[in-house]
Amino acid sequence: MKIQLIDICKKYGKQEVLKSVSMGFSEGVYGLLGKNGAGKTTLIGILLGIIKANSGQILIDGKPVRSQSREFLNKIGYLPQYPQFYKEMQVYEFLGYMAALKGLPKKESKNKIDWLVEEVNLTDAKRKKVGALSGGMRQRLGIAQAMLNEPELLILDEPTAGLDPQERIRFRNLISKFAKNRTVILVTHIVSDVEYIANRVIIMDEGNIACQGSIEELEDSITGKVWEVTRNKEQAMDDLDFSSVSNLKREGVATKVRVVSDRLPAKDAVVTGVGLEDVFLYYCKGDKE
Amino acid sequence: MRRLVYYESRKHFLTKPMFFMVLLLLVVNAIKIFDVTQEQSPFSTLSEHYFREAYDKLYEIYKGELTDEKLEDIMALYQPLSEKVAGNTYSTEAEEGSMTYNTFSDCLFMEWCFMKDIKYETGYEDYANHVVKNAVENVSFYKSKNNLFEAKANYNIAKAFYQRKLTSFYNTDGFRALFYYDFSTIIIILLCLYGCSSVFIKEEETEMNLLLKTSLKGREASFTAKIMSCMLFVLFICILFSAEDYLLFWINFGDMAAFLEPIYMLEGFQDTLLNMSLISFYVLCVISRLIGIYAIAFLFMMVSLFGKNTLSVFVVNIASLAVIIGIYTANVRGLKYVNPLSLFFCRKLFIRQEFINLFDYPVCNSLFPYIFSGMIMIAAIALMSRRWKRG
Repeated sequence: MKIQLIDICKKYGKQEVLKSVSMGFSEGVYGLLGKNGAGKTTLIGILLGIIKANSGQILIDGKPVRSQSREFLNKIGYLPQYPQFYKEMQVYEFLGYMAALKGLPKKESKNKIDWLVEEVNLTDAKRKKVGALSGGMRQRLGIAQAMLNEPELLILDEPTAGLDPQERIRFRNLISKFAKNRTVILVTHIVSDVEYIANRVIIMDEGNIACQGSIEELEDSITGKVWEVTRNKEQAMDDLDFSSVSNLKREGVATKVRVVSDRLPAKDAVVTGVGLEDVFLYYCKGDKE
Repeated sequence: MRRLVYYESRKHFLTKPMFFMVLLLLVVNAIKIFDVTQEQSPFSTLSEHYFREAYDKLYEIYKGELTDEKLEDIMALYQPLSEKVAGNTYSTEAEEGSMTYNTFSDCLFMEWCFMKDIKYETGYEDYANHVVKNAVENVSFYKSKNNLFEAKANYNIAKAFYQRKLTSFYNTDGFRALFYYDFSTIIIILLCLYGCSSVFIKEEETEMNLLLKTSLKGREASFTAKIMSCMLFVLFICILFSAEDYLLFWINFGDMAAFLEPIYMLEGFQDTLLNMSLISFYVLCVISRLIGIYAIAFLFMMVSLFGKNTLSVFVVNIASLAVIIGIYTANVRGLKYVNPLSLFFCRKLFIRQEFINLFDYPVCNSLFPYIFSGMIMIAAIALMSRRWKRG
């Protein structure tokens, strides 16, 4: 499945949320990164047909898509941001409802639900009410419902928000497992989620695409722009621009400061290795002179 | 679609709180019916216990077809008692051989429990013939004046009253109490308010609307399923409470044998244009109530779709209900006929009907609440569908 978004524009009143955004997706895991308010969810909303774009075009395998066409809806699985679901429904029942909504035949849906409940490790909780599930379990239920129709395009909006580290790792593994042979778009502002599982990353900033490419390509693009400054306790740090600091790490009495900058941030700064977090900071906030 | 309707029902109506609420209200309704029975039954107090025994004995003999033999027999029983009371030659002490206590109480008993109804039933044929005669005369008169509407209206009256007569005697107290009982309607409205107010707003609050919009059957099919589940819920509670009303009045009054007798057997309904049995009229009442409740439930659902949260929807729905009740109780005659609430009190629509001139064609005024309720439902569905599609 090849998806192309061409010159997508969206305005809310006078505020331009998306400014002629173009991007493409094919098989693999995509990380759509951006600060809160960068326009990620709006873009996904437009792709899903929930929100109408002011202009632009979406092509699926080269053909314009009517977002709500039967064929398109059959191909997508979606996990929205902070889903509550129906608290009084049981896990199994909820998946049954979602299967009915996705138009799966009763018999087929039963087999698929059994398989998915096992895959997302909710077998013991299948008779539990959704309201009684932990945040992680609810997200796993969310991914199970998105996978019911075996979608070619799986869109997960902030899937790890509010999860503890253990649940986050478990969830990442789950996404990796389901990512085979399909397009997965992981919309998030949590860089580490993308770093571990995405093949390609798109970083959005203020309604524009700040950069896109594989993690290696993006990291290469700022090689030599990430610095490490080591300061002792009594040494002042006033000379550093803290808006460009990507990390602070204490090592004994010393503090190692990681700075993303085109220029040498301090006399004692040394170039260091690049991480995706640095890329994110560079393109969304970094010093781009 | 069946699966979607089931899941929609499961989400909104097949819940534990709803189950317990329905159960509780069934009990409350039963208590209220018992209370109404106590109030309306002529044998409810302990002192009237003797009356009950005497009544049961005589009723067994005289119920059913009113033959000349039965009439002569009952008159033979009543006449001497009546004469004694009229002539003040009765005893106030307990008398041996009395059906109840003494001559006076026997006379009163016969008056209340038999003669009043028998007089009405035997006199009804004459009354109906009189109405037919007048109506036929009116037809000729209005035709001569070229007033087509009045002529047609009178023709309809003559047709409705033609060959009407009452040939049987039955205890109709149970039916009377049933037709005048409105408490269960209030319960059904409350349940609708509770159930239907959340149908659309719940999707918004649980953020499930996003998933619905991106699912194959989350749009039109889901909307239809929501409407159907609501209609099924309203149908179910309406039938449940109507059946409870009927059964409990039957049990409490002990006799509903008159169910196949015409509606005008009930005093008060002598002028109705309906020619249907008591049981058919009850079915008509249930259907009318159902249509009225559908109209109101659809309004509740519409507010649920346009609302911001459950509380605001609930408040707006209560306010809307208050407005509907206010309009109904206001003494503006025309407004009653465009109000779905009129269908909840079906007896009022049919006790005395009038004709309204519609291009010289007489249309019965009792039809209007059905037409307007239907229009409300269609308009509500159209508005909801539009809003749902626009998301």
